[in-house]
Amino acid sequence: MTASTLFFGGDIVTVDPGHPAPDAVLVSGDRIAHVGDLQSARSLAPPDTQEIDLQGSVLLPGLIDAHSHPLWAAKTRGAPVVDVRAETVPTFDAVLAKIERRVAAAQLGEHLLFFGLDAQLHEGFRTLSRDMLDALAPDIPLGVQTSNCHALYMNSAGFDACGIGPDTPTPTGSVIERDAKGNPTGKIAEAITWKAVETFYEAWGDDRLNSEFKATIDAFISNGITTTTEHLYLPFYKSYYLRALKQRWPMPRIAAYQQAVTPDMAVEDMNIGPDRLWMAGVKIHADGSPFIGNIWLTKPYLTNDVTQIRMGLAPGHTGGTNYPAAFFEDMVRAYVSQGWQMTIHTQGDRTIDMVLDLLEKVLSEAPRPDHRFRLEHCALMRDDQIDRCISMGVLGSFFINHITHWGAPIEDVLFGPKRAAHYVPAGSAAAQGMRISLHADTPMTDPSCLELMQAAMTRKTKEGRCVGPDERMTVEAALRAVTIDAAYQICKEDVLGSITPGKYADFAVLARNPLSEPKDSIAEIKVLETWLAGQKVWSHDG
Amino acid sequence: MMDNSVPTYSFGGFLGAGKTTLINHLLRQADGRRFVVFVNDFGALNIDYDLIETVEADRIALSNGCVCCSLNDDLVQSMVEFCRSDPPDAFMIEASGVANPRALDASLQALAQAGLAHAQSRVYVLDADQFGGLDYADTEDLVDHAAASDLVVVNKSDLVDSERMSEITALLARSAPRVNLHKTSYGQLSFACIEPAGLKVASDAAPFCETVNAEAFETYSFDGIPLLSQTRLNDLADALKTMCLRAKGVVRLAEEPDTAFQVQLVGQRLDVRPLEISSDRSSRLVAIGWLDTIDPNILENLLGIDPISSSPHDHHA
Repeated sequence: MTASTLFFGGDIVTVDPGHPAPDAVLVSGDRIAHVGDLQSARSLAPPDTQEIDLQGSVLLPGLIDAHSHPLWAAKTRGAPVVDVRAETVPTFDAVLAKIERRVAAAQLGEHLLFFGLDAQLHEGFRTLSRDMLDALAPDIPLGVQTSNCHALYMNSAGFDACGIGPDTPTPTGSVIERDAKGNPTGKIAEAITWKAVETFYEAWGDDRLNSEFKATIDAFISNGITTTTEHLYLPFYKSYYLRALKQRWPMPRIAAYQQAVTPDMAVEDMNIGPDRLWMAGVKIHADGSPFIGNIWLTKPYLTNDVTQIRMGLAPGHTGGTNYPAAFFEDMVRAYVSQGWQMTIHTQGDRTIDMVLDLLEKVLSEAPRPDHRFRLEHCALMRDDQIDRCISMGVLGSFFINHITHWGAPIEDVLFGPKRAAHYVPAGSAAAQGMRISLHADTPMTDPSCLELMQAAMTRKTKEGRCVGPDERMTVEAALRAVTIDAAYQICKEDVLGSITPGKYADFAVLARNPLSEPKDSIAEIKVLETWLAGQKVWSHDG
Repeated sequence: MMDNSVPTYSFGGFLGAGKTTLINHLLRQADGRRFVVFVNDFGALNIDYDLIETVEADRIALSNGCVCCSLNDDLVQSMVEFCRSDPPDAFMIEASGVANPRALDASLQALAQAGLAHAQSRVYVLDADQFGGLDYADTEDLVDHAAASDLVVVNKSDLVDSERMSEITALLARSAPRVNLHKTSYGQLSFACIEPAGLKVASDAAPFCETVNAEAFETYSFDGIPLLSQTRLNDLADALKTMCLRAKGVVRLAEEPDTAFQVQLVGQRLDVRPLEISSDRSSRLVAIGWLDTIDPNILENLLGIDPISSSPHDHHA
């Protein structure tokens, strides 16, 4: 017999204009059966219905982070990776001290990986070289990954373990910094980074990964997030997800976007659960990270010590794309022709021009209604590009936490106040009618849709500075960007993203209503419970 | 709005590092100010009995206006109530569970937005003696927490030698370069050190601030103690617990005159055990207590001696 649950006794924020401010929600099995007044809900409820009095707490649709990496986050930041992000380890010298202590405690043959080196946030930052790292750790493989995930510094043992040497060709879309003789000098960037760190993850084994994956799942679910994505999904990830489902871990629903680095990859059409894990589309990096200079710009980076010395950029640096244009086009054409939804990592405005030009060409040759082509992160998207996206049906998913975590260096040392004022222009895009989503891009920042809302509504950095007040979003728009519009971006708005009859009974129960909360404290609203497919899967009280 | 907002000091640190002892000591420096403190176990606060006005299940009101509360889930609610009814001059909160000094940040942010209270200083208490004995992972937790605080109190500094202390301070200077350091024993820190004016700016090249706060407490030594009865020893133990931070000595019991007993008081723990080897037949006791609580006359009476030497001197070497 199907279990029924009736919610009443608190604000119900449906995010469905067809069902504004109801008194009650009736759930039957894994779906929402009725949304309306309490009397009618009770009259429809079977006799054994469990009634849940919200007692003033607030029922929302399960929250959706439209661009994340839960399994990859477990790999990237889970133990034994050592956290050296600037919020934990304040200066570059403190990072070195931490590395020294870890090396001193290391066993022979151990693989050491450090996450979070930050050219903008680590005071006294210097580029690490292979020689420096060899001096610290002559015998064991050691890697230091940047906080933006896009670059890795290694010692000689690290390069050996990853099989990268003077004769290794640089894969298309990657960077290996080398000396005159072709020897790697310490830094690698973009796609080869993610291949190299797998060497470390493999050395640590699956037990470690499974327990860290469980912890990452808990981090999402305890923040009321019932659906997210695995951008950069790789086929071998599937077994970890299947194990999580088999062990009945409260895993959010996962829209997988498989990472393409060549045009000839097989993409498995899957939907497991149902709608617990499915292949949503393909992800390609058109460019890289603004924090290491790997993005393509029409106007250059600012010229100062941070960009020149710490980041090693030439004066007037305007960056570039990850792949040669023709190679990139081959990839896009291959997966568009297979019918996949495309999500393209684009940070620089010139990259966005290139991608939109290409998409216009591809769509003019083979029109495809409702393609929901997505641009990811959109750091320096220009106002004219927002218009163009809207007219083409292209959607932006905005990495708003750049403002929270790196807002100060973005404004002061990378791009200047004028560009910072519209950096990650989620507010303009939403105001002009784009169905946008917001994301934390975990592991880069921690999962919390309430934090995303607050960041988009306040545009405040951690230090309290407002960067780009004109881009601040309304609470309604911010809420849609982590519910119904995020569902739209992963093509599941028919079953997710609002409290609507027929949709999955995924809910977040909050202590206070974000619609009436002061915008500076939305992130502090306590998540009391998380419901997935009609089941309570997490409760603040344990 | 900020003018009425109550400054709030939070105290993190490993179990046993000395958070409560430090808070206890700061509480004694109220000097007309009204502090409200939240601690995990207010039974552990070493409060003078004559200072206590009322005791409830979760609250002790002191005659000087200060209030000690047990820390529970309703911390924010309790703080709001204090702010609305009778705002104190400061809150002091012992961070429970995890030692992270930022654990209370979210709660305090909400209070700051309401204009009721704001985070003033995050204090991290580190046990100098324990520090060297921790494994790699625990040590790193401690270093990370220290780095996330505004000032680090390196407590129990009397238990480590100067070489070890230099290692600890050098490590912290490198790994927690933006925090202020204070060395203490028994949490003997001046309240001024945790106030904003007492904090040096983050970029200060030499944030180390030596704290010698000897005038706040005194040391008495007692020699030539006669044989004590078991009852007398029990009374002595009670008195030491009440008025001393630390006491150490050798006494002999009338019931067992040939055995020397070592007496050790650390915080509220009194340890009396027979010494296996004792060539020295003398009995003596050194007692350290706060200036305003230790009473040498009471101790002399209990020990049954006239003071042979009882001269205040600095505890710090």
